[in-house]
Amino acid sequence: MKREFLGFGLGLRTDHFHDVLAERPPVDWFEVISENFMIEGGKPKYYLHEIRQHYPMVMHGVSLSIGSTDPLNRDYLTRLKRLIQELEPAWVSDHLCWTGVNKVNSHDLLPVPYTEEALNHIVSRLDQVQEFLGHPILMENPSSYVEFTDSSIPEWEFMAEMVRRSGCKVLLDVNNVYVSARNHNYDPHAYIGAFDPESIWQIHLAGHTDYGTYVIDTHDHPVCDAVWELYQTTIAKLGPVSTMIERDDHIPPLPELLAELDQARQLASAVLPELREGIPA
Amino acid sequence: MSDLKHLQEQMMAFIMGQPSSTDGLLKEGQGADTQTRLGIYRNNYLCALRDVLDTDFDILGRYMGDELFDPMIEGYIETCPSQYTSLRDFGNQIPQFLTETEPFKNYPQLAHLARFERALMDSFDAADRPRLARSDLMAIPQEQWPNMTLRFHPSLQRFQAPYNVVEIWQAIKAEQHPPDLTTQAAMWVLWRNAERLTEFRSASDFEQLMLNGFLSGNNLAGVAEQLAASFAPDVIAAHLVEQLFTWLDAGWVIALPTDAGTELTAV
Repeated sequence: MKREFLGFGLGLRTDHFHDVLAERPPVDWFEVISENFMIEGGKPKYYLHEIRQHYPMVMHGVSLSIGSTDPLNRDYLTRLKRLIQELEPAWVSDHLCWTGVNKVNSHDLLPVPYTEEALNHIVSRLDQVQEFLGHPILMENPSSYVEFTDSSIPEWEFMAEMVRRSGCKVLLDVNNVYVSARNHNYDPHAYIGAFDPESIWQIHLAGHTDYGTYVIDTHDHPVCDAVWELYQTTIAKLGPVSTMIERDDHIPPLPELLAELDQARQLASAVLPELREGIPA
Repeated sequence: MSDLKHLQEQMMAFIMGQPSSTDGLLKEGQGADTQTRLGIYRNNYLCALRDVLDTDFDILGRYMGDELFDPMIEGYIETCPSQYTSLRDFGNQIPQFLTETEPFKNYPQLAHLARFERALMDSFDAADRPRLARSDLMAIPQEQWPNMTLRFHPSLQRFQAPYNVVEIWQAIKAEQHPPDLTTQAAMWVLWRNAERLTEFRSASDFEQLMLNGFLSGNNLAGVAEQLAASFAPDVIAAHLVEQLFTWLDAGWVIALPTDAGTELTAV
């Protein structure tokens, strides 16, 4: 698996299975949630494989729980590896988070404290996961609503050091940077500037809900102006990085998401001359 | 215990609504206070689990009504926290919970209705296998038929309940008033058809005996012998092959092994 510019993609959602297959919309690639397809067969698997015939795919997991103090879930990793072999994605990602402890799963992406103990723990587990899978994986920066008193390292330095030590790559969620920067009062540009640009293989864009004194990463709205601005500044510094829009709730008809994806294309092509060919004026 | 483990246990306890000690764990920041911020995770947890049970037990929920279904969901979330990596499996223990817990256990049909909804889901995403057609059966030399066994599509399941819960499910699905509860001993068969749609229908006494016989691994001769204990030879002669054709047409059969060293398997 290597960094390549796949173009502009969407998260593949059940609501759009039929339209994607029937209409072959102008999406360069799709991201699929790994756990949704860790099943034996049936309609979801059928659509997955049919759509895979026509589009590049990447896999995005929510259950690796790399930061948990529970042992790594070998059964989950085996099923993940089986799906990777089945789907041959361009790459595989999960989140810098923990999802549960003492065998109980919260089914949420919970933040880790940014300490040396957590860093050593996570790097050691990333080594095991990457060795088992046989390739590097991408870790997504979290959105978070709390900060721990134990944290002694800024999140961006923690992420950058984790990447340096483990060789993992970064899925940079620009909306998450914005959400956490608002919640914890830091500079989102400094966050993004902390990474080696070559380590960032993919970008997520999404919407959130603004409650004034805090912001929640809900993935149920269009991308807001502030996140678009942050994206454009980011992509201008990074160069072409595969970019996609994530929508998990209040999922609109496909044409609405395609229009939003076109906005990402336009903003990126405005700052990256190499992308301008083929982009409508 | 490591600081990391302690932190995770306390935060998880808070999220699950259990006694926890989160004092001093969190930095006070600008804007919302730490309890509000931690509450976002508690809320996310409850919403995700409630949503999946609402979706996966849609008909059960409508049958029970919000006044009974909502406390059932709250009780289940508290008693059976998820140990699964996929939310798809979170409701696996709902039938058992309904069987063991007051006041739900006083309405034994609830557990069977839940079991039926789970069985539909299991057929929906069971493994895919190519299916045989009636022409495949006809291609097997007749002298090999007595020794022939059947292998069924992975989505095929038998469902039996002591109550008319399938009829209740059907009425609610059709947005009609459910029938009164009655006892019954019908056997239903669930499967996913070639168009990947989940189907189910009741099986006659004859079909039940046949299906149970083949699923136990008996060959055609053995199944015919079992049928002979309950049905007259002319009934068996008239219906046995016809029933096999019905199954093949419905896409239930994936292999017809015989002991002649051949195993006819769909490719």
